[in-house]
Amino acid sequence: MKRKLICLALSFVLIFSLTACWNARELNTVGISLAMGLDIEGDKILVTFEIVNPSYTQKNHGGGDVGPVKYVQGIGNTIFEAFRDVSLKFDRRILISHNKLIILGEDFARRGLINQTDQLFRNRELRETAYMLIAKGAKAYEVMGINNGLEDLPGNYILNLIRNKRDNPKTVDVRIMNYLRDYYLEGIHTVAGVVEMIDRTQIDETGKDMGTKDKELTVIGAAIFKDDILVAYISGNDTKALNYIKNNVKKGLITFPTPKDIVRNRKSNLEDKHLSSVLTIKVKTKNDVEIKDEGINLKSKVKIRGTIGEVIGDIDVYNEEEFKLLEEACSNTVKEAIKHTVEKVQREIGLDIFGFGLIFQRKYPDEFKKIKDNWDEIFSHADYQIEVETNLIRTGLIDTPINVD
Amino acid sequence: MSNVNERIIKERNKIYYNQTLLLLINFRVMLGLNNLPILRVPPANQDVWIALLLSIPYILIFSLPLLFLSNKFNNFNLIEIIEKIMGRILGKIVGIYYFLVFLYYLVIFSSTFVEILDNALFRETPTWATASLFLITSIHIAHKGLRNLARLGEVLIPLILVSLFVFVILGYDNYQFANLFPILGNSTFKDINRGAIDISLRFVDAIIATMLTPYLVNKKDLNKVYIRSTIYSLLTITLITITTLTTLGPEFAKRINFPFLTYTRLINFQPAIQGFESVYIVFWIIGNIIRIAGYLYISSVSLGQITGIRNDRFILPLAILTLIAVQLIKDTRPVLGLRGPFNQITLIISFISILVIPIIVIIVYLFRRKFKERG
Repeated sequence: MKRKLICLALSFVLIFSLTACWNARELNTVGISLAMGLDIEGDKILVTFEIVNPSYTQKNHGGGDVGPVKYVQGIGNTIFEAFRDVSLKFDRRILISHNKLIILGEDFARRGLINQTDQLFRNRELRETAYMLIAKGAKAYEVMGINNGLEDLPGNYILNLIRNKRDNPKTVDVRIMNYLRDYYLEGIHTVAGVVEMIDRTQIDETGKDMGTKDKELTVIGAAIFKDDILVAYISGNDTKALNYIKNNVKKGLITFPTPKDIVRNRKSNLEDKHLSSVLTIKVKTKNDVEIKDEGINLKSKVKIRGTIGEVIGDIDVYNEEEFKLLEEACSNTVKEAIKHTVEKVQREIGLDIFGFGLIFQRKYPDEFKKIKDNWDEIFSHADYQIEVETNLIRTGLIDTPINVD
Repeated sequence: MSNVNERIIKERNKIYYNQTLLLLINFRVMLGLNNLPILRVPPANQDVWIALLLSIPYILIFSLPLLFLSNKFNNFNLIEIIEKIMGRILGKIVGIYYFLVFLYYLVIFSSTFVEILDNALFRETPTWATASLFLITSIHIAHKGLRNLARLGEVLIPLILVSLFVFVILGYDNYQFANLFPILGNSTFKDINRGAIDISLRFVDAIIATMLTPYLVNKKDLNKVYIRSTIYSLLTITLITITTLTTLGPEFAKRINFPFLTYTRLINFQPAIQGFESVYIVFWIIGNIIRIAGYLYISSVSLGQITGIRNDRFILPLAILTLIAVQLIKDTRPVLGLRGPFNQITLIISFISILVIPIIVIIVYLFRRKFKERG
């Protein structure tokens, strides 16, 4: 009986002492950050947080005219110091565990990331799954806050733009974890996503140009790093080719000239530019590197499985022969585009962003040890060969195009 | 402690094959999870999983002396065996050494566990509070005896193992198998062997197995349970290591204190399902508490053996001693986050405890038997 009473008393004490974690933080004491911007101001680091404004959710219940987010900034010699500087200006402690986006100003990225960002990986609060973007030609805080979508929160607007990569591979979706993992690899240079401010013509309700310009964001293209320093950008089409080579394409559109030799010009003018489109269902790329007497050969073999998106021109896809010509035309366009990008990167940037060095290292580890310091030079002068095979497995709801008799 | 008492305790704490197997697997897997800085041992690159696989035969070879002794005297634990062979005084001295070894491991494992909790959950909680939480739990479990510890393990350890396999499957999207290549391209056979020996010396559970032998219902199961637990646990750790390497890359993985925790943090299903590490931490904590309770119990048994007093009287004082030691260590320096003395000390202690002393004891035993036969 005595023992039971002691247990009961102990349980009673424990119930009150174990109500929460030590130094628990309640929701009304923290500011939840969704996006973080990092910039260089003079010699210091400027950090900008996009904080969710809880009052906004009460707007319809008398919360007043408040925006969905607030922006707070802190400055310091290091990122950590800048984080703490925020506490002198903002009443709540910043909670970054919901931070899904890190935007780096171009100046910040050009100064090198690794030496400056140790805190982001040491701090367990920040999730390694946060996406990383470079504000092209701008400060991070300049692009934060622009919202041209339907999302209430600008951070979520940008996040959704990145996620749209699944339908349009003209961008890259790089998480900070992926960036760091690739940074340590030999034989590949890292890339990161880009966010750019562009002008948008404002139109009124009737669709008339109002003569004023508004800003909107685009995440087209990619930023190229040498070691951890931003050195160049590539265009949307080149990024698409990069994604093809790196096997990062799921869905996407390939637009290509309809084969001319079978355009019978029954209803359309031969002078018209006839373009058809294929929607990719699956893309599989195998890359290879071979040592030849005269140098190194880089090879890619791309297999595309897709569905016909649109056919413009007098081609009859119901006819097997013409159907095959359509597949061939699609393959040729992809082949040309990828080859063009690889040669452009070899010529203009001179850095292996495709990861051929990784393949070389894995295939010829001993040889790679000898040439790893000169790999980019070797890559720049290597021959590139590509094979593309397209299989169109669906024709959509119609087979014979509507303009073909 | 009278022989009758001793027999009663052993009888009351009889454990079965499955229970022993699960306990030993848990001890090893937790060591693997807590010290996946195993990734830092040679060759410290994408081939470290080969070193892990190669460590299986090394562990078995290094355990041979202890297994030999336990098979010969399967009614006695290691300290009793040594006392029987080496004589009372020398036996007591070696017994004290082994007690200190168990205590050392208890303190190091507890300090590592505090570090895990500090990093994963209680960043601002003082060391004494974190350590008290799990030590009180461990005291309770150890007080209930080995049989109850084994029963607890029988229920929870399969859950822990299943959860690990589920995490391995859930993170499949993040795998980049290319991180495992070139296989054997950047490491030599010598590096891999050095790594395998280093790893095998970190798994000190052969000593625990010899302490558990007298409690086994069927003592003939000893070899089977030891070999199987070694293979199963090392295969599990190898699987975890491969998933970590393929997800984080070898270079980044070896910079992280708890790579599998980071791995679980990366599991997410768009757009909002994430936070799997919370589930992992729950199982991690349970596994570590079972392990610490096991070491606390074994430490108390060895001290009971030396002093001749019932072991359960030592559980509380040993836990308090551990708490003080953890407080002193953890408030001075990190245990895992520093390539410091603990690593070296642990390897030296393991080498002496698993190999040197048991070999000396076997030599003495063989000499004595020879003289006895001649006499």
